[in-house]
Amino acid sequence: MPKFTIKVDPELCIGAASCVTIDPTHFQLNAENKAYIPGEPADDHAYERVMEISEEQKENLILAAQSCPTLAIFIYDETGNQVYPA
Amino acid sequence: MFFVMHRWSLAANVTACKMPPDMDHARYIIVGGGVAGTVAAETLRMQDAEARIVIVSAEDYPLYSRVLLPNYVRGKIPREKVFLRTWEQYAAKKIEVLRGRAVVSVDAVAHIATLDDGAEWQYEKLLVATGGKAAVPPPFAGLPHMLPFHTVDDADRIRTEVERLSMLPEGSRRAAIVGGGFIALEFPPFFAPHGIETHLLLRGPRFLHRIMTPEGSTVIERILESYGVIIHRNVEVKGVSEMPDGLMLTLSDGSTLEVGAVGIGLGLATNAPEGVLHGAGIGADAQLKTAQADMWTAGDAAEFDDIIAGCRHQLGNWLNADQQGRCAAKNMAGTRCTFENVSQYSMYIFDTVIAMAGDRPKDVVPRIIADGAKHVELYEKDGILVGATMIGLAAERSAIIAAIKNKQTSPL
Repeated sequence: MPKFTIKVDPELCIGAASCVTIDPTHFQLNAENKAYIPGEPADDHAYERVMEISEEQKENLILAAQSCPTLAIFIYDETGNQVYPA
Repeated sequence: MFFVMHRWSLAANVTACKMPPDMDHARYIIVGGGVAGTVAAETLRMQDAEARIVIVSAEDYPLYSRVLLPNYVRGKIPREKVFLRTWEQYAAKKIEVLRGRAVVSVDAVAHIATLDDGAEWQYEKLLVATGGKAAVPPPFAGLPHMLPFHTVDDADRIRTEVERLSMLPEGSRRAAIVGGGFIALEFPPFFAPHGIETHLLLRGPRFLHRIMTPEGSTVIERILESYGVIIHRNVEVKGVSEMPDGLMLTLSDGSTLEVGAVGIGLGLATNAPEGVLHGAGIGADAQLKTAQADMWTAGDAAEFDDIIAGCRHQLGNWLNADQQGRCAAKNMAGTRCTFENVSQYSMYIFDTVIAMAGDRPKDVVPRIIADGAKHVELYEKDGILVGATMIGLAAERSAIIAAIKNKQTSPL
């Protein structure tokens, strides 16, 4: 599966949780009301991770990023190209 | 054969509408340039590369984040940061925007939308995503220093008024807030940091009394009072008169209150053009289709079949509007989409986050979990979590939202 870098800017995130509602696999909220990217190793301050994303997951991931009311989510492909915001 | 039939039926429709030769025409007209209308236009463009898509937007701004407006008013972010699109991005997607224009009426039979400048547009499919208009009823209507809070222009006005109030002599820096809901809750953090004495006037006995338990209201009221907000309960403003630096409010208990400005949090009124059938909201099914031909609705104005909550709902929040805009657009383009989403809303009162998710049925007594710092109200039906109100709770919100969405028991 292709790898993507998912990044949340914690300065922009206001904890509206749109991303969490749409794609809870890739976004969770921490105690500071910021979205982070869950994964291994566990770290509720992981605001950036490289993840393997299937085509099916990618659609939902982008939808989650698009729904953010502060545009705090950034997605990059393996070559470093910014996939979202396009 | 199908192609021929399709062409024929389209031609027949246009002929039946007797479109004058000089009338503008678009396959898709979207009434409203907020998040529902904008993402609907973008979704339609993804589904249909060539169709003419026109947004009629009463505000002359590209899409901006209403969710970020409180941060702009509080000076936490510059004004330009609230804008989520540029006009160039609309142009790049061949989405036309009639800026600062409103659709005043719709002839749903003839498929004609009439604008406030008299222009008539023939459409094939129409999305009404007009949202709401902040209600400023009597005795507040038409007076200066009244501060509704819905648009970026409202935010600009609040900033100007807060600056003016903060320059008044000490003892005269006073503001009132009317309303007992979420919009009213936005105002105290605008006023308090500037040394403005803030009076919150509640018509009911307590804050959010329709949607929160007495214990929950007490938690919110204590937060407000800890920042110096003075809460008046069971009072209404009976009269308002202009004063040199503000307004004199006459209250239902016979007292008066002189203030520099009034924050208005009295809800939104549905903003539908004439000819669009509506009650409190614009009625739609679970595909966001209205009862009128080739007309859909999305966002704050839509009163839809909520299949997760199992009832009719009209919701005023960002995520709902975003998701409904996408779903309605898919249906308009012929790809069936049923709207299915857990309603979700959050805001800050000063530094405490309040979040609501799912449904809060009136016939359910919520289970309360409170430990001083946090206050959670869980609505459960047959052991399944259907909704929650969360004050001061962040990390567990994800699991609660997931449980509501997946119709599971509460994680708490």
